[in-house]
Amino acid sequence: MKHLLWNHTGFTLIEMIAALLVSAFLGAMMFAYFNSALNQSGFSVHRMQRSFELHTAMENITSDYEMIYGQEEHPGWMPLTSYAAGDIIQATIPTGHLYLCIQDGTSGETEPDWPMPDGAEVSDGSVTWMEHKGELDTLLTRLYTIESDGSQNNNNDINRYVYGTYGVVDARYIKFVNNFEVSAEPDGPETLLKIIIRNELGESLTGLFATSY
Amino acid sequence: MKPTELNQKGFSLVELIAALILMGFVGAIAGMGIVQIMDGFMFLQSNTETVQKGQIAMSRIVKEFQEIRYIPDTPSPTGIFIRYSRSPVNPADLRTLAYSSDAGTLTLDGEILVDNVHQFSLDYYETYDALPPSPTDPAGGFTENARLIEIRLEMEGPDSTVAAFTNRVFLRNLES
Repeated sequence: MKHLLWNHTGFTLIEMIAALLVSAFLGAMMFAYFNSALNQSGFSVHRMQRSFELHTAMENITSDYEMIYGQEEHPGWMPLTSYAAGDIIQATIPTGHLYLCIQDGTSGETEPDWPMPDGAEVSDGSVTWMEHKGELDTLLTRLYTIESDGSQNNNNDINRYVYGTYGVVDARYIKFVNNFEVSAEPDGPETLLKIIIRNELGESLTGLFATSY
Repeated sequence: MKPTELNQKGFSLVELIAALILMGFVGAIAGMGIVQIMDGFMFLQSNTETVQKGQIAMSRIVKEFQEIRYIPDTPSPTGIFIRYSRSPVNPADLRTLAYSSDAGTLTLDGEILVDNVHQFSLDYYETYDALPPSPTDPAGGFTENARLIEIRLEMEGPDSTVAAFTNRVFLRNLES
């Protein structure tokens, strides 16, 4: 009968290769996992830079809004009052528009029926008024104006616009009815321009812009 | 019948040396990997601290500038210094934000707001689309009609890296 002895043949080549493969696979997985700390370490800086970029764009929009619409308080229309060409007034009941005096004179006893279309004129006593820069259309137009050097990022619709680098998620006129947001016509007195912009990381920033007339 | 017996010979010297050399190789490679991984974690930690410091400093500066109501004529703001008042009732209640390149610190009323600052600059704009001031202009392009301030903060990070952050603030409360 054959004696019971230890096997002296050692591991086979197949066993060695299998063991090496398994250990290499596990080692590679662990290295990739732990090494992500190094690879991702710059992400926090990148995220903050993009976040500030978005903030910068909204500040640019806000500054332009203030320059265009917010700097002056315009008086309301008054009856039997002398007006000179260049005077700008708003209707006593806000219409969402301003009116520019283009003909000197004295206003009538009753308030005229204010026109809404761009540049429309109306007579009031001996004064002629013209609709003047109503709505927030200038802001909306510039929101979509690509930077003059024409460069675009083309990265998930993120572009370099004149206000900064962002993608437009939403830009429309709204108003609140019974605490609910509904779409509105651009020339209403209670209309707000709602702008939502985002960066390439998906962070978004919302701004609401109103007129006082 | 001969009894069952174990091999009593053990490993030979050559086998042991070969095994030790192999283990040495594997250990060296694993050690290098572990060192790199630990370096990565240390770098990440330092980087996170840098970003947090930069974020806190920038948030504070933005809040300060958003509330500016009055900027005195003298001393006039420069690219690394601005004196202003946030008080609606007392324009003489002034605050000072200043950068010291020697110390690498940004101070607010003499108190250190953030250290390890590699570079700090303030650029002033009248409109959002105005051209940037000349880099050699010590005043940072300041005029009395300036309504936007661009803040550039560069923080020294780990391993001589620099994290640069740029933000803008519209001076919405400035009384003209």
